[in-house]
Amino acid sequence: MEKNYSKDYFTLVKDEERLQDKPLKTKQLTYFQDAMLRFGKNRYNVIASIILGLFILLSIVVPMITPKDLYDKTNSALILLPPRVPLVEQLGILDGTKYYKNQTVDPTTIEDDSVDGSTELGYPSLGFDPEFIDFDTLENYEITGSTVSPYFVGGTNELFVMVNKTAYSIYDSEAFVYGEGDYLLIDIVEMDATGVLEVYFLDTNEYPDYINDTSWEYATLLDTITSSNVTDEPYRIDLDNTVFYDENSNWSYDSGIFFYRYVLDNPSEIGADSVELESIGLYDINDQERYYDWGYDLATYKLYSTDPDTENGVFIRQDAIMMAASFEYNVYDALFSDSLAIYGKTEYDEVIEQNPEMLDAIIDCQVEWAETDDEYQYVEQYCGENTLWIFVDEDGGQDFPITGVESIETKTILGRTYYNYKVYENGRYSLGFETIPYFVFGTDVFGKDLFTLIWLGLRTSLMLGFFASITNIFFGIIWGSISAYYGGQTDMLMERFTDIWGSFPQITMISIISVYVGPGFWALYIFLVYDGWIGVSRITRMQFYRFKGREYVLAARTLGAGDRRIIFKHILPNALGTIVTRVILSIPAVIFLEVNLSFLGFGIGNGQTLEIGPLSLTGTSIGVILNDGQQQILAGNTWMIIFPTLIVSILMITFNMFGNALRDALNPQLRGSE
Amino acid sequence: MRNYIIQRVIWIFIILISSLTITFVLLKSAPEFPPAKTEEKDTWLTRQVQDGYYTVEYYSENPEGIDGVLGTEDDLGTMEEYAAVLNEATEKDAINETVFYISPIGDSTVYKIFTRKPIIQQYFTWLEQVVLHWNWGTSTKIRVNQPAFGLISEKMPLTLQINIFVLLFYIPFGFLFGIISALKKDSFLDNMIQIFIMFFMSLPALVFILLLIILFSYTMDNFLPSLFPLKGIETGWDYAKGFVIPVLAAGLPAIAGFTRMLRAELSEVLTSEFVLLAKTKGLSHQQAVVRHAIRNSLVPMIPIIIGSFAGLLSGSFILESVYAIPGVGRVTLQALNGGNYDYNVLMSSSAFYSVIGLFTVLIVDLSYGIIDPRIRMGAKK
Repeated sequence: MEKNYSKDYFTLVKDEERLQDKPLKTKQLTYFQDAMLRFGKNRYNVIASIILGLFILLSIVVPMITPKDLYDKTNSALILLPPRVPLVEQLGILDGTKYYKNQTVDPTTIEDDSVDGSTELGYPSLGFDPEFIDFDTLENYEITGSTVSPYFVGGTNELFVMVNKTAYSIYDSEAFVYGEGDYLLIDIVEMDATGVLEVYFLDTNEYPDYINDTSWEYATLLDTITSSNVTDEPYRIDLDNTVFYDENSNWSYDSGIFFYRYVLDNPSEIGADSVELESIGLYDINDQERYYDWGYDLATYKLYSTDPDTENGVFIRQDAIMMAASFEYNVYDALFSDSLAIYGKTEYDEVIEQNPEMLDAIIDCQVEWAETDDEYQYVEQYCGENTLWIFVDEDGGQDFPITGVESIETKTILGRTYYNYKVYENGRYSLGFETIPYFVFGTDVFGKDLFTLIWLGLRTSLMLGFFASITNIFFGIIWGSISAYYGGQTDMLMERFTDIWGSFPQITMISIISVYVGPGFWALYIFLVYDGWIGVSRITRMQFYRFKGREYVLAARTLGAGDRRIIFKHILPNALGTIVTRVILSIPAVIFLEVNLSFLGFGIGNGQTLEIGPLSLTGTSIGVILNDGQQQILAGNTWMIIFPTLIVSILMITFNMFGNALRDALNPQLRGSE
Repeated sequence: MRNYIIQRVIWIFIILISSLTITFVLLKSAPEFPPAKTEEKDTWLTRQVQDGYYTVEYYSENPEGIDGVLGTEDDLGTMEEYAAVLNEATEKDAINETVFYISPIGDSTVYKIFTRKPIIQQYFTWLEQVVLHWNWGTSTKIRVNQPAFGLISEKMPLTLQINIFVLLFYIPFGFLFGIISALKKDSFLDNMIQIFIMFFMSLPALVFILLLIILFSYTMDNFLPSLFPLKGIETGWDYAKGFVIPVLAAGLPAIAGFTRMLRAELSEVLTSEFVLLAKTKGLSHQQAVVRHAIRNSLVPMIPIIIGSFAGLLSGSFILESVYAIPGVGRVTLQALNGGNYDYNVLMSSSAFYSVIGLFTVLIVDLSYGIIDPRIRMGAKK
């Protein structure tokens, strides 16, 4: 049933008012303002982003402001200087001292108490100046080792016969003088019962040319020691008149050597048959020692075999003890201190001419100075025992290339007299520094400043990460968008292609790139790019599937937009945020990879330059620095590992935090949320 | 299910064969690097001729004077021909790249010129050699004239051994830390574990092993060796000590990664409805967690564990080269470093890594189906 309503039945509501959008009560924000707001919410992420920004800035600025000599050139004087940081050095850390371990003690220094009172501790003299050793940290201890060196004392020596051989011999390194009634004491610790020790004697007066193939013919077998003879007491062999009596020579002036030959019954099976000797001594009739060889002396006995095919072995020193020292050494002060040098007269005059103020600063050390004189304190402080004169300015500074003259040598050749000045050369001047420099991260094996090198390496890494990401985004977006936009058969084929391409083993790829391109920046770049775009294309594809069915795409198509326009003008801008954040999050992985590959030798080596268009940059890599540093670990130069590690780790942490923050900030779903 | 497995296996084989084909073609199209010493070079090239990768021509100053050894006199060319062939090769820049000549060695008076066959012929020969005879060629650098695959397979046990140790080390700790941090979320313990994860995720394994060497070898005075000990020289105990640093270096970052994933997975499961249901039914919190939550969170972990094996293996590259472990990775790097590449060893190790990697993928795919019945495999869209 139809109802009929008259027109009066209806009245117009708000006929007078115009309908308009009501102003929003909240503040309006654009997408990026909102994103920035949410980005700033998380304090830690902001701090991380600031640190990251600082790192990037440093990696650009530091290589630019550092003098090129400090990181580009090998500087042999400055190698392996430890870190030294201003202000922090006051705390006693990073103060340019280096802790040395297991340094061989020079025994003569133990009694020497002239340097620093009576420490009764020894220190090495070779390569170290006691003036710069921190005696508070000096410690002495014993190291057990098997090195044949006079610094290692005591221990036993073991004579081994090799596998399939039957015997091996040792003999005294020097001939000795013997007399009537002498006896030999051989202290054997242990002897394997599979063999016996034969002692031979050779008269060296009769056979001066004693070491040749015929020695055994003239040597006389004195005695054979079996394992049952080995007791706690040394084995005694009395020198027999019948053996030693020599018609041609007088008893008391005769000389000879002993051979000790360890002979096995059967050829050795595993090469473990041995005789262990403690000492060998020769005594005269009054029990006076003629010689007594043990430890190092015994270890220097020479090895001998008549026939290398049947006789061979090794003579190994065991349980010898060395006195070692550990201490802190002020490497900087030692390097930049004054050192003695010889200057010719012309050379000396040249220095004076270039620094005229030096003439005013001369203080003569040879004159008697009264304690009341102004200069007296300097004389007392700087003048050595024999110093002729020194250069000290009014404030007591010695900022001159030469700080003093020790002596003058004169030489007269062909009527002309030459003067040689023995001077104290100022270490800072000779190395080209005005003050003692601060290498805050130390220097590397080439004497390059590690601080600059690390930022250089980081610059390379970041540049590589940046270029690789741009390329990956470019190709990934094109591939992914085409694949997803057309869908169906095209999508399937393109997907299968990326499947195969992406499952290529990386090692194969490294091989191929190395063979064709050779190691360097471009090899790394290709390696990062060849499958890096696949990740981007997958994300793009996913995003495209999300957006391509939307109404605005349909609307654009209805209005006659072409494929290219729809892809790049309509769909892509919507998907870009997600894609970019994902790529930024992948940069740390790129840096990891770069460090690893450079370490393995596929990246930018030391001193290689990087040519990018008109730019020519000195390149190195954190990986290369670490590789150099690895060789230095056991020498104690650990800063070459620790500082690059620290920087890379901080970079990784901040990069990850920054990426996460960016992802949260750009996520449209979180828009406006608190 | 059966169809799915067959499909996956076929697909894996297609990928394997195509990747090995591309590798072979690209490597063998590059200039050859035969062994450096003349005798070894001669042996190697002769072997290549036998295997069918090269052809050889013989020349002599006195062709009539020699017979018997090399077949008939017709095989021998004159010195003019020899010079002509070499000239032609020089003009094409092929000398010492694809064409090699050997001057007479010892008593012989025969000059030889070896020429590499076109890549297509080489490829089919290679397929035949590998499939029928399991012949991967001989090494040119690492161990001259020894079978290349033998070199790799000899090193495999050590590489696999270390990786299995790492696996055995990281799984229990990963589970422990992951479960603790998920159950005690936002507690002090959880925060400590989070810091631990953060630390190891941002430290390259390379750097980590170097730090371990500093700690155990330098600071603690050679408590652990600074390089991998050689078997045979060291006694059993000293040899075993060599495993500590590599296993720690690879294991700790793996623990961090695993803990992070398990924590995320388990905390999601803990808030899910079926755990709530279990509690509603009257189970205690502990019962609900152990019987329902943890079990369910393990489902996606199993494929991750299997998959991590391939990841560890490729990571062991760095490990082996830093710690001087004589494994597959180190041999591969030796074959690759220093310019004169050892192609056959590279091919063999490529095959090794491809097979392990791809079959891990296969097992992961299959394990998804076995563990989680919700995944209907092989179903058409």
